[in-house]
Amino acid sequence: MKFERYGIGIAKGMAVTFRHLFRKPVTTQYPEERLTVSRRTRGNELIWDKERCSGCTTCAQSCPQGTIEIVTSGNGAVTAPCSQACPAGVNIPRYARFIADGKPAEAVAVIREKIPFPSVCGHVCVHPCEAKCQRAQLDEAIDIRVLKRFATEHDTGLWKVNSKVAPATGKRVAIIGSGPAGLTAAYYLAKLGHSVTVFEALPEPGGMMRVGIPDYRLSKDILRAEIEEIKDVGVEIKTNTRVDSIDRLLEQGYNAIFLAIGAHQGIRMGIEGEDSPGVMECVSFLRDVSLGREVKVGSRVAVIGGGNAAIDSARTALRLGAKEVTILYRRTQVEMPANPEEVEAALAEGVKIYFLAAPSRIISQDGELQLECIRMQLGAIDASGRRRPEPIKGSEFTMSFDNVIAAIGQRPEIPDKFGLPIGRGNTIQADPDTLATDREGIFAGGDVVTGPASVIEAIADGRQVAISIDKYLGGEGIIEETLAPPEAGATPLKKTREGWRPQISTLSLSQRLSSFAEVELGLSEEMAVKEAKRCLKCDLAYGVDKFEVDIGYCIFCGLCVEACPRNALFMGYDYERARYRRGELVMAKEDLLLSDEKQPSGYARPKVEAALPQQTLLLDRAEYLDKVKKRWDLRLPFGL
Amino acid sequence: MAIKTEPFVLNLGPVHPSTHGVFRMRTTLDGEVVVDMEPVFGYLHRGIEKLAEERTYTGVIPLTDRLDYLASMSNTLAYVLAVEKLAGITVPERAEYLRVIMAELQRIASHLIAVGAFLNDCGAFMTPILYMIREREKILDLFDMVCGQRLTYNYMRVGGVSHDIPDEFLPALDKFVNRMPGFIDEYDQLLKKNEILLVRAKGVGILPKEMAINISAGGPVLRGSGVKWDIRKADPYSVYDRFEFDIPTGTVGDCYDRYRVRIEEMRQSVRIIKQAMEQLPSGAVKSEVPHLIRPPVGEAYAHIEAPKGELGFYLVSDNSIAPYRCAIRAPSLINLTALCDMVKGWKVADAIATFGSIDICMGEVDR
Amino acid sequence: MTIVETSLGPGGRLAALPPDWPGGYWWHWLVFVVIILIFVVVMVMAFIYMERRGLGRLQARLGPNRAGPLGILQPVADAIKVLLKEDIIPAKGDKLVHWLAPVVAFVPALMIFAVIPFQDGALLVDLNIGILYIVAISSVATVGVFMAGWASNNKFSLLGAMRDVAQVVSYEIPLVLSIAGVVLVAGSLSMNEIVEAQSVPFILLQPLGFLIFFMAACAEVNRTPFDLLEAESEIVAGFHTEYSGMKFALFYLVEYTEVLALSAIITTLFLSGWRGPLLPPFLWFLIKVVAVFFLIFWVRSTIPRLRIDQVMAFAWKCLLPLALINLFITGLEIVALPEGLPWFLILVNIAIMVVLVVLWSGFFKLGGGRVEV
Repeated sequence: MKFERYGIGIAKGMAVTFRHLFRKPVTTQYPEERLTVSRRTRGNELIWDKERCSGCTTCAQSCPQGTIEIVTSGNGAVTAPCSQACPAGVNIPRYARFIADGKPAEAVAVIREKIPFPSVCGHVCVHPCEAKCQRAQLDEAIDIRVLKRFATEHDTGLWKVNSKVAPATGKRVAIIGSGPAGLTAAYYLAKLGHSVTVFEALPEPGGMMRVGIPDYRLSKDILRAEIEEIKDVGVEIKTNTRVDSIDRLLEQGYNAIFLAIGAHQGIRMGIEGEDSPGVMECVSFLRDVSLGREVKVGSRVAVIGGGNAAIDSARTALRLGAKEVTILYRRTQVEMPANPEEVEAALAEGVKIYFLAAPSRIISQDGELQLECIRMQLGAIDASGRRRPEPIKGSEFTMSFDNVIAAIGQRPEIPDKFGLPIGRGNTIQADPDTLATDREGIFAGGDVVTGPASVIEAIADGRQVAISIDKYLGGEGIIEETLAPPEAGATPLKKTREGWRPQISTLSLSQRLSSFAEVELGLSEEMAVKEAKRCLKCDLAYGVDKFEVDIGYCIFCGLCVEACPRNALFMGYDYERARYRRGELVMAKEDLLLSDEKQPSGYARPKVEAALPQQTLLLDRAEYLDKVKKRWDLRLPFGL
Repeated sequence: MAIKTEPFVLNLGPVHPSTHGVFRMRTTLDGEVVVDMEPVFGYLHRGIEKLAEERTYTGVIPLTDRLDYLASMSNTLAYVLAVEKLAGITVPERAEYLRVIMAELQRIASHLIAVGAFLNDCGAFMTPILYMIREREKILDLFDMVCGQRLTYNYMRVGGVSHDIPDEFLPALDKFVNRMPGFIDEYDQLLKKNEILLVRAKGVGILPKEMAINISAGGPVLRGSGVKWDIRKADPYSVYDRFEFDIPTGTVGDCYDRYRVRIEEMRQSVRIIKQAMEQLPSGAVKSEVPHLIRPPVGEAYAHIEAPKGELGFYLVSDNSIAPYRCAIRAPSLINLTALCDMVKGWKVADAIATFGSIDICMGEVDR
Repeated sequence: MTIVETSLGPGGRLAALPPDWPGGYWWHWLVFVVIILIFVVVMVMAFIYMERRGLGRLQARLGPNRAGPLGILQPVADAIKVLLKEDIIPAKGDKLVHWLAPVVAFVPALMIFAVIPFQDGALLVDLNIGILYIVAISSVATVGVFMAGWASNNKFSLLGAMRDVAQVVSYEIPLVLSIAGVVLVAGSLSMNEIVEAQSVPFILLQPLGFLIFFMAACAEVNRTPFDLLEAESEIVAGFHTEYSGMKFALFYLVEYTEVLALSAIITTLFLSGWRGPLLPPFLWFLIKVVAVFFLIFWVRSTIPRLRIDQVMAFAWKCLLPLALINLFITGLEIVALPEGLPWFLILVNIAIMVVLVVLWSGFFKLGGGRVEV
């Protein structure tokens, strides 16, 4: 061998190393600023979430090392979290399975077992169930309300086959108010054989469902059809009949009375100039619009308040021809009690929302209203868990409108002659379990007891009152019924189906604003089946008596984590934890030495278990916050 | 005056800086000259072939990760190809392309370590291997993106891959692929024509062409001896028939040729990845495969061009959920069989360099 | 005492000391012993730090940066760690020799500094045979290395030690021959006088001599590409495989002391020692030492290691003839142009070096190939 190139090769190589003297070194630095983008877990700790585990043993089957030992009991009949969250207790996973099998009629029967208003709920339910949906831990919650709507739209009336009406008992029940609570109680009492009369002050039955929910959310025909079904079981509804005194009803021979008069009186703002012409109150405003009475709004409308009623008023005002609708809310978007979806829809339709602003005076001037407002700031947390708004002194400003609609809350309007104790917020006080009032034979439920709440809560109250009244009248109070055929071959979920919740088609903006047509258009059959199949079947879970992982044999391949259909298994985010802790230096060496768990080799293992759940959530949470941020990406007014 | 000498036995390994794991070369030395060498291995035997018989078809995948731990993606690819062949499972297009991208990235990563370790064995004090680890780190980051792991990826699945790539992956890969040729040039500038490397590697540890074929060597060891044989071309698997690339070969079969072949293969891999990125279709990344796979009774052999040579899996099914027999044709072991003939008569230092140039991974040799 | 007197030679060099130097040569003796010890220890630590950080940067990494600001206390930490370690002597090793080896290796390395001039006249003893003394004393360290290799009763150690002896013996010759060229030009063996003779640094007048000396000296102190005696990838750690604790620390110290000595000798012989404009002479000396050291570890970071037969072939086939030719040409130049123009000689010598290197590099076969067994 020869020195072929006289050392030029060596010189070139030395030039390369010399260049590196002036480059930034790279290899030894752990990239602190970078977090893995992988959705998959990694690390050397396996965490099992008891709440999510359904005992399906898929993980144990997929483990190559056989390290997972899982012992289950029972055959799987628990109440799913969503059903628990539903005030009426609808068996949601069960009807989702029917929909997934292409049997919407059976699905309606399952819903009908608990509520007599499936269509109404399918359109306007506030779905507390979706908040508890376990699927949200995986990706997004199941769109349960829309599934219900799909089922009712494809109903064939199968539920009537098993629906039975008991022979007449001869007892008479008067129900005051034909809202969801009243009609639900009426429906079940009538099925138990009682003679039920419903008194309604307004010309149309339905209560708040009729006069509080605008047509673009729930069309009249759907409500009418549901009420017809109730009438079919023998309920008599007397409209245009205002009941002022319950004593007179008792005199007429009614054995029991259910007060379900709702909360139909708007709360006054209590500010100067509130009675000026052009200032309206949202309950009567919505009622007048719903009943077809003539309501005129100017081109600029202000809505005060941040609840669903405020949003409804604002969107209704837009449909009545208002050009510019502004919502004023004294807190911020986070504290807003309205449904986020509703808020989103309102914003899409062009409603402006001003946060941290409260009206202090209304001046009627030259045919227009000068709304004097004051800016607020958030102070300490109050009893409702929200931060109390406090006015900022000297920050008054004035805006001019044609109309002002106050939507700061509702309360029941109780005639004086009822003679019942009145509680906070003008509500009737009733026993929380039986809903009986102090007077014998008089029951109360719905908004009149709870204050303004949702349809599904009213239905739940109605069911409870039906049970209580039947017991009071000597019955056994059993309103449970089985309408749906038995389910064949339902097995726990073994494999998660991929997919996010569907994008529900809506009317175009121009179509929306020109009429009161329903905005939401529902699901196609294909979409509904796909959505129903995302359900994790939480009701079929087994009780897990023992779950053990022999970490000594675990190779942390992650197959179990991947196989778990319900995301009940995680791997500890060791790298991420290192990253989070690096800055803080939480685990100083002294801490390690002081730990109780001394290892034989002389050093101690840090106690990390306590910190784990939080740590494992970190990635999920970051994602979640990001999503929320996108959803709430509003323009903040006033330079906030 | 004749000096009375006698040969002495030197155990290089199993604990030694240059044995790439726990390998032992029981060398007999006459002065510095290796008169005889007996490879002793099995220190890392874990019985993976036997373990595979007790695991479900999916459960074997993490085990194959641990064969050649420097090229986990390739191992799992060979295994899932065998299972797919056995059970007749088709793979979505996108998954095929992802597999090719991962396998070629893995080839680059493995060759970087192989070349770096070889140069380190030649005495270049850590510099080349550190430069190469720097680039390997980028590949590991890419793998981390897709599967959350950095060494035992467990990414391939029967019927596809476990996850689709995240949105950040393709831009990052594009950046890497565009920069990689520059880095390879830098390695070449560093040591390609270095006189000392030339005298150390050229003509040293020659594996003649005939012998390479006779011992059924594979990969860069075979191609370094001048045999144009690459499973990707000879028996195209996955979608390799859709890409254009060359098979670099050596001439003599010495350490230097093997080193050059690896460097050139990295360039070709970059070429393949570029093409695969252009052609990458959208769609599913995994076909519908039952949780427990029960292939029909039968047998299947699937082989791929792993970074170290022809890696094959031979599976026998008895229609149960676990393979009846899983035999692995490990390229490292086959290539290692030539070591004794290659180093006899050379100095100790040459033995180490030759051993380094074969590029073995003990996890695969001992299984 | 007599030895010291004789070594001072006729007239001594004490006259060269500053006039206000306190006391006689006993004071001088004591002060310089202390200075040398401190200089060696501090510079070795600085070298270790510089090499580790510098190698790190050359290898695209950071290097040690945890102990102290910028990792500056890393050598201290290393020293403390290594002193606390258990001292292990192989059961079948030769205990006395094992114990003695590091000392035997360390003392000569330290003794070299006795004749290194830190600045004009500032040296322990200005021997009139200074460079000869260095050549003689530096070879003794090999004995220590061989003792270590023998006493460890370890095959790797023995291989390393054998390599070292063969290598050092071979490279002594080109080393001395290249020094001879410098001595011819300077006209003295005294280190201080060699520096004083360098109005032009001898690296320019003796470029080929510098090249040969640098390579041969690298081989003498076992730096890459001639670090065969501890070739990590082949024979684990060579002669000090079985050493730990304080004894290992001594070998480590020897390695860096030798490198320091080498840098200092190159500075003195070829880079005009402490001479330089503006800055104080001692600083110039330090700067040049560090620069030479940078060159050494820069080489280490880049190139692979030679094989033992190639190392020997390189010494005998390449360096030795070149050194002889260099000596011959230098002699010719001295005879022909005793008061020659330095700039002319510089150009001529560089041209000669280039021609010789080019010629020689294509001329011989480096090392043997396969041996039939």
